[in-house]
Amino acid sequence: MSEEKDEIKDLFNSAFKDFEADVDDKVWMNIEKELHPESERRFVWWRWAAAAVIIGGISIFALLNLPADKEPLAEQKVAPGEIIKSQEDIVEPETLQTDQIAEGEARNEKIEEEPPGSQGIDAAKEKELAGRKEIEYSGSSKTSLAISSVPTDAGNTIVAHTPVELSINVNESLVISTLIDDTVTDIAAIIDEDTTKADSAATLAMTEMSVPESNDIPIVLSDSALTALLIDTDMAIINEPILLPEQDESKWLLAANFLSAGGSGSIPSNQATTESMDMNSAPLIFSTTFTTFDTAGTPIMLITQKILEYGETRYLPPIITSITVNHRLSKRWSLESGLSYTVLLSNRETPLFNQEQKKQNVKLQYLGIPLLVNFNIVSGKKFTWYTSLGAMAEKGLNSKITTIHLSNGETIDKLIESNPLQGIDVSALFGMGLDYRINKLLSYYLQPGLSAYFVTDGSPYNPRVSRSVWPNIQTGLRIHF
Amino acid sequence: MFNNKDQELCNSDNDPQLVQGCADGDLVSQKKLYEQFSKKMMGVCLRYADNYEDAQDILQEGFIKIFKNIHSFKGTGSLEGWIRRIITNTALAVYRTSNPLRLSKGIEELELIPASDSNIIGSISVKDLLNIIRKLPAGYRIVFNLYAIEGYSHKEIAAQLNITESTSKSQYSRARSLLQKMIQSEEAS
Repeated sequence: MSEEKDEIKDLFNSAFKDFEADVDDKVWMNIEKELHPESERRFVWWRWAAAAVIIGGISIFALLNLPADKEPLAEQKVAPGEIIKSQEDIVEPETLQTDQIAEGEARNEKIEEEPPGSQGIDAAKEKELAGRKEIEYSGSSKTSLAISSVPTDAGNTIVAHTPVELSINVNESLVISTLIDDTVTDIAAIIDEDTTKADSAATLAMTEMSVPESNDIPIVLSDSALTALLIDTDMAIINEPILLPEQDESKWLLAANFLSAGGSGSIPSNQATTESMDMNSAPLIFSTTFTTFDTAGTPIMLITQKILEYGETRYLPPIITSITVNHRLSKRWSLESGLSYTVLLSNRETPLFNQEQKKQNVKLQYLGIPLLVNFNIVSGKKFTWYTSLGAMAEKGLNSKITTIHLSNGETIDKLIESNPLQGIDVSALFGMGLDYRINKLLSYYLQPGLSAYFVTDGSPYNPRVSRSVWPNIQTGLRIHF
Repeated sequence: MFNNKDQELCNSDNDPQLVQGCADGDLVSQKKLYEQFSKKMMGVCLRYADNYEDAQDILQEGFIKIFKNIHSFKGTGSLEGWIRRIITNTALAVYRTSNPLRLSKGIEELELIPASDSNIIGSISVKDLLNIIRKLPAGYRIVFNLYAIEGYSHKEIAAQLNITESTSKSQYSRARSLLQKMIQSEEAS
């Protein structure tokens, strides 16, 4: 060998003597798999078991911690005027059916035991009226006013301002009647302005009464006595208090209708009750109408309302279904975006009362564009356990509120209200999921996670307005490239 | 087969406990051994392979052989030398099975290119040298690697590649000439 040859040899020999190069991790993984196939399988099994436990745990935690709104979603949506029908609409007991009357009798035993209103009916008239099952109105003097009974230290105070639409109704009634210069002059008012305590001996009479702006007309009652507010163009006066059946937990709304003495028709001999319910998306409202009599035997109709509010709104896990493209940045990191469809489902119901109940289901739909960064925790041939972080902008599409009225377990009325959703929600997304590789191009994933909303459309339909962090379940198809 | 390179290596890198652990199939020992030698052996593989992926394949196959046969290592020589020899043999086997015609053709048919008289001056990086050596025909590259870097004799190379000793010598001479020209060209640019 010449020196030149040695020089080449020496050059390469010294250059590569300590030459080292980096090796991919997959080389060792392949070697390990080849040398210890069983332990590799066991190891992978435990890893996937850990992934399943963690993801399952997150899912269960999310499901168990779904928020419940005490202020029902749809409550915000329904205008007050829609909640309760006008009193005039409710007070139309043109016909009282026999069974309704019988039911009313059973339900108002207390009235039967102590019906002061009927005490004044003489036996002859009672006999004459006995058996009549109908009461007919022909008089035009019927007006109505709604009042509620509110317990106070001094007794029960009747306030005539609940709910708002009834006040409006009252106003209308008053205006139509005789309101002059904000003073009710010819309303047959009820209590003497000076006699705010109406006991059984009180004479309820008033000829002039100011109408407060709030339409509140307070009347303090003795324990069990309720003075009915009567509004009548004929200036009728009731000299005796009327007993109000005791029904706790109820919101009492009393509308007293006075049939003037000149009103024609027949009347039943006993108190009669009937019930009706509203048929819209508002809370369940029972209106009980019963008739009693003043000492002069004048029939007086009383209407009570029991409002059964909806309970807590229960939310189902928001489901986000997506089709996304996933671009691999490195062995573990990838970038993802696409199109997402979100459905928010919630429901609520009123308590069951007299075998009547209302249930309401709300469905909100959104279309969104996510932008996510994914990190692969464990990668296998078919499955990848990963975590994801990013953001999503969602456009509200539609809200659908379905109200079902059930009677004896059967649907008797169904109301569907559909409205567009406005605005855009922006949220931060976090999740941890499993990705199943269908083929080289496609994979399916299931990923529970959390959404934190920092921009919402602000609409009353949108539950994200009430709280910012929501659990969710994301699922869909990934296209890999 | 024994070569000069093995003789140069001392036995200080031998770890009997580690070797025994690997022989017993202990995963921790195997990984430790792999981490100790994988980068250096990857450097060897890169000199024989056409590209990085092929080099990793050789490394993977070589280490599987190492772990499966480590019980035959008696500890009388260098562990690194033993590992290097298995890696080198694996590289040769890969090229023998994957492209036997190419190897044969490279050795037998390429014309002799006279070496230049000029000296190799200046410094050139290992990466450049690696690229240069990869430009050699596979047959030249293998003979050059075995003789100049691994320290095999022409007799041993002849036996490994199933060629004559004189052919090994001539192939080495040609490889050397080519490398010299390429290095000069590299330095000139």
